[in-house]
Amino acid sequence: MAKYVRLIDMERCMGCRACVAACYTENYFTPHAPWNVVLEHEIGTYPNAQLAFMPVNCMHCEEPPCKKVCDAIGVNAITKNEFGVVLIDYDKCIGSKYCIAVCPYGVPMYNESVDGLYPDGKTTPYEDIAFSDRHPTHRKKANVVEKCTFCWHKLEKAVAAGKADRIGKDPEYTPSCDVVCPVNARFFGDIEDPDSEVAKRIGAKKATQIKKEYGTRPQVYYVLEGGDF
Amino acid sequence: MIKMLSFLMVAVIAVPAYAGEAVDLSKLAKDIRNGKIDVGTEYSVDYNDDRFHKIHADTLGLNCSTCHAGKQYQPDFVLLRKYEEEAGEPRRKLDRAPCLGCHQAGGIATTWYSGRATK
Repeated sequence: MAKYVRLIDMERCMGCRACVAACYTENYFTPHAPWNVVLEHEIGTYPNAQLAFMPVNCMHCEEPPCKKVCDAIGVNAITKNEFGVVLIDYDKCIGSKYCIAVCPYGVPMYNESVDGLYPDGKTTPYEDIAFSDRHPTHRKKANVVEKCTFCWHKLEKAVAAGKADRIGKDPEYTPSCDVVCPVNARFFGDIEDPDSEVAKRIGAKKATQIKKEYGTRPQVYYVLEGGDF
Repeated sequence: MIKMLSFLMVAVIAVPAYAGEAVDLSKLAKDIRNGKIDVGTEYSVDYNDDRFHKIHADTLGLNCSTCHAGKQYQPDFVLLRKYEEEAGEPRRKLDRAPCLGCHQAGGIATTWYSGRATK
């Protein structure tokens, strides 16, 4: 079974936020609940200062604490499917925010309201698409928690078309944030396939998961300056 | 080392709430799980009648700054500002390291994190 992972190369990321914009347009952005953000951190002191950029989206952990806590309180709104993608069912979510409390990466976001994106009340072409015509992960609701889905609507399409081998290669079947990166700082694919670009780069660049001490085993790897530690 | 420090931090911070008496955190956690200590039924973290703050702030006696480490509190926050909602603070900044002390595998509370407990 394929295991899809993402690689983010912080040595290459220049903080342009194209991945953030791509996520916004692909996934019906709601201002209260961004799925993809870029954290900035200043390193060093003048004149040897620099900015480090760290794109953060859901880590799709192999042992997701968000799912554990959601199941423990009997809500069962969070699932992890056979491809390793962690998803939230908006219809089951009660908005307890327990998943937000336990996620060490600060990923799940509570959507207080589904507001229009234009200030004058007009709607964007995306907002005009009927609720029922959208993928379930895009049927945004107020007072529930949302997060990155690894663009599950695209992966699902590849699997249904028997083109799972094209995931990570064909833009149609690859998460949008990974497609648009202008500096090749993001890769997506099957880590179980030794010939995949993502598997090769994770090995070659000594990419690592972050906050390993939590034992969550994230499916997003980062190339950090200096390699793994 | 991080796990050990976070556990010690939780333990040390919890003690002042029970000044003068020995606190057995594992017994307290067990009593919460068994329903011997009433922490309500409201699964929420929203500061009002929620289980989350009843468990961690009321029962265990953790100070706000244990988790809300990035927030600047007034010196009297323990007395006056304990339940004041942080204004506009990004949740992303909340530190989850203290959670590891009790919620890791082998810890005294329900296990959310599979990292092994410090011996």
